[in-house]
Amino acid sequence: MPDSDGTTKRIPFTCSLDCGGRCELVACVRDGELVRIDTPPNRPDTLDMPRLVPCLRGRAQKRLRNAKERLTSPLRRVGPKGSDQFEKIAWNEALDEVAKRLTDVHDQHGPEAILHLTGAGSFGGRGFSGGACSDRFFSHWASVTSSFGNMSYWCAQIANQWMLGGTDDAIDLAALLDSRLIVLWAMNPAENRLGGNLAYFIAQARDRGARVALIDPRYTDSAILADQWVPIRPGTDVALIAAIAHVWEFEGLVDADFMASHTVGYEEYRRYVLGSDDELPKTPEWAAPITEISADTIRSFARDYASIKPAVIMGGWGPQRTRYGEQTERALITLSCMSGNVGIRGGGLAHQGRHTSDRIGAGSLTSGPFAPVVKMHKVTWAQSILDGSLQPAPQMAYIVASNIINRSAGTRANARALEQIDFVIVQDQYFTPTARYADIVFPICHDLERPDLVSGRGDLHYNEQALSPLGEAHTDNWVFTQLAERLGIREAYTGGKTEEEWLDKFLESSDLDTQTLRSKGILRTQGGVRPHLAEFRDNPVGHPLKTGSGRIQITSPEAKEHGLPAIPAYIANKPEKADEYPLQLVTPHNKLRANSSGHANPWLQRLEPHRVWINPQDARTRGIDPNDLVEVFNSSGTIAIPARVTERIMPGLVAVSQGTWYRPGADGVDMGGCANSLTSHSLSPTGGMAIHSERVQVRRRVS
Amino acid sequence: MNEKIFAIDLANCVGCLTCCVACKDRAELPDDLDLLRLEERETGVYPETDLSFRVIHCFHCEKPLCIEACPSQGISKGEDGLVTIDEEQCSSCGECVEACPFDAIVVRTDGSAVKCDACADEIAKGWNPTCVRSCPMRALFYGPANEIPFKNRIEDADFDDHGIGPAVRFLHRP
Repeated sequence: MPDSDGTTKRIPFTCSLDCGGRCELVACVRDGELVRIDTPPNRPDTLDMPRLVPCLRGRAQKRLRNAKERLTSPLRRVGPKGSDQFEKIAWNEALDEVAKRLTDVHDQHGPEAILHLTGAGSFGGRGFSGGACSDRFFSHWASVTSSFGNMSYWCAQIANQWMLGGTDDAIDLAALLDSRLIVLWAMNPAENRLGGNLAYFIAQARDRGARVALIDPRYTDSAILADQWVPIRPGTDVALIAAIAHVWEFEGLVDADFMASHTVGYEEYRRYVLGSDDELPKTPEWAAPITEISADTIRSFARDYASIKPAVIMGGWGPQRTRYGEQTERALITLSCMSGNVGIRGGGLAHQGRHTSDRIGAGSLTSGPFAPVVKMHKVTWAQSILDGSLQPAPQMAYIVASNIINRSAGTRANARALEQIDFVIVQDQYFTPTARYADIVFPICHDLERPDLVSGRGDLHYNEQALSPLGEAHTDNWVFTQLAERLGIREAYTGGKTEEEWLDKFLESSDLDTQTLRSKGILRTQGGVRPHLAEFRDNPVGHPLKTGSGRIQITSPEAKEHGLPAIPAYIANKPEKADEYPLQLVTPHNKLRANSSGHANPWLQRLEPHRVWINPQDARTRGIDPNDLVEVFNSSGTIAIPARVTERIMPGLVAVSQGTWYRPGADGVDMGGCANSLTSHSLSPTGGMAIHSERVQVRRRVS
Repeated sequence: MNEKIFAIDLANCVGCLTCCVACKDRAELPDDLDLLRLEERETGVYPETDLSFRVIHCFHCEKPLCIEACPSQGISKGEDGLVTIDEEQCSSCGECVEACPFDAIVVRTDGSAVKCDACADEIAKGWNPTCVRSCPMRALFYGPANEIPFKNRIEDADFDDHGIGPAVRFLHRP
């Protein structure tokens, strides 16, 4: 598709940063150089088939691809771990050394002494993302140690499993247009997943008369789309929900028929809410000092939520990354049931939006005979290395597409854990803070420098290779092919295929229109899905859930095994050292990065400086003026960061957006302001990451 | 007269900055120069906080102060209403930068002035300007005033047009 000047090729590709959206871009390439990132100019844009308009993260990829932190040659560390002292080495030398180390550890300590750690750094490519290749490589070589769990939505998944038997609670975007009340419960689509059209459809619903409420400790960018902001003390959502339930019980607003026919155990929750057993009715007056929401506001919100239908709660994942995150999600499901919105178009509880039925089927890389030994927890992996509980003691870590010390809770401890491991390999596009702890660093291609298939929700994208690799970067698949050759498993790993041949094979197994896919770069499906739990609502006997009772379990027998109440009751978090660290900390995702991807982009860094949000009341008592350099600290660490003194955050807490890169100074203070320098490895009862229950203090930095 | 104007739907502009990045990418300017910027307006006191964003760039005014200010007559307004800087004529004096009340003109390292050209080359192809196409919220518009797609909106009374007829409408909910 030549441009009008005849010299610029416009090559469609899809952004695969890990925000959850998959958006259409066009790479404008002239003489082999990337001159611009654009969008397809004249795509039809209807509510049935909306354009997949990328956000700023995708649009800024020209500058990300050639950022100064981009890796362009293999490196060997020559200074202490954590330093930036590395020397360039030749690919052959680097590959020989890594192959020898793999073999030595395998033979002397067994393959379990090798840790395989992957992340979302190159996530969207379904065929050849970093993790897909390394999984296949190790599965054809030996059973190395890998990790389990997830940092994103563990507690939401647990609650869904216990109560709904494991269902996909996404809402069809078109169905949002039928919603009359949309409650953004700590969801911030305007920043987190702008490209997925979720924020756009919420705006469209509002223009069609829907009311939008935002329950969030911050006045986020999504507040622009809201008619009402209800700031809430983090970690107290369950108390608010109990109080809403109390109003409904008291005023006869519960959908009692639905609770009777579709749920099990409601009576126990009802007794809790009414205070039948503990003589403590969970009234709005009870919840007000806990949540810091006035009783009047709770009552009027409860009445709105009961009377405006259909009503949907769009749940963000922040409130379940807390000490008792399971209770948050269980209570949200319970409230949604009581409201009578479950299974109704435009109603219910959803954590995601999507515009078509499901993923378009195509194959992906398969596994070999050696299954990994899955025994490292994704949140506490570093702790288990430091305290020696991970056995056999790891001798080597192979880290692929993951800035793992930065993106897991407890960054300082994570760095110490990597320091303990004798030999570390980092394979990435960028010289991340994690790469500084590597012995050998392998430089990997940007997504524009390799072909792949990318899955969206109901879409399949084909990324043609638009550019030559920068410097000596290679694909993950190339690296593992070279290592496989050295370990004598080349044929097993490659299956005798090139990357393009694998892509053909992935498509072969489907009935997709591959010609259209390759020429236009995208295949899209049309048509929505039935509302979440619609079949179950219509016929609970004929379509039982995969729970013990077949119905929605308000009481969960599994909860007790984890020391939780059988019902979603409020549990006050009693933090240690609350006097020493009086401020709560939240670490939201923001629009400039997808986790730590995009941090290296100077365009994005400049648009919005990294600052800690603090309410003027909290700033005043600490003598902090706008843009003062402050220290935010607790027993996990200290970061230095300018203050954003703002009315957009409630008093009593501060917000440090996650994803900026860890940069410890000489005094150990993190000058990069990495949010996880302030978080620990603490978990919720079932193993969810509890980072939004951390506390901090803030003071002016004395230079 | 401008046949076409810019319109910005403040009710749905969530300040995502995508237009800033898209514009910067097209303009091929240094990292620290922009032809389009976003102004965040935070008002009110917690919990009565309020927030809105304004997209600011050259609004191709009816009576452009930059044209008057340019000593070398290097800025002109075309029949299509677009205000254009003739780079050949630019003496790098910076007078236009000073004159623009919207701070919409910037200076390259070589001293030459540059600003939004409404993506004239793309309009000529029948496309929308880059910023309009880039908006994930579909909150930007460029075209005839009677085709503005944002319904049930009123003009932003706070916007100071400096009496020079900028070809822009900031619209919000009544």
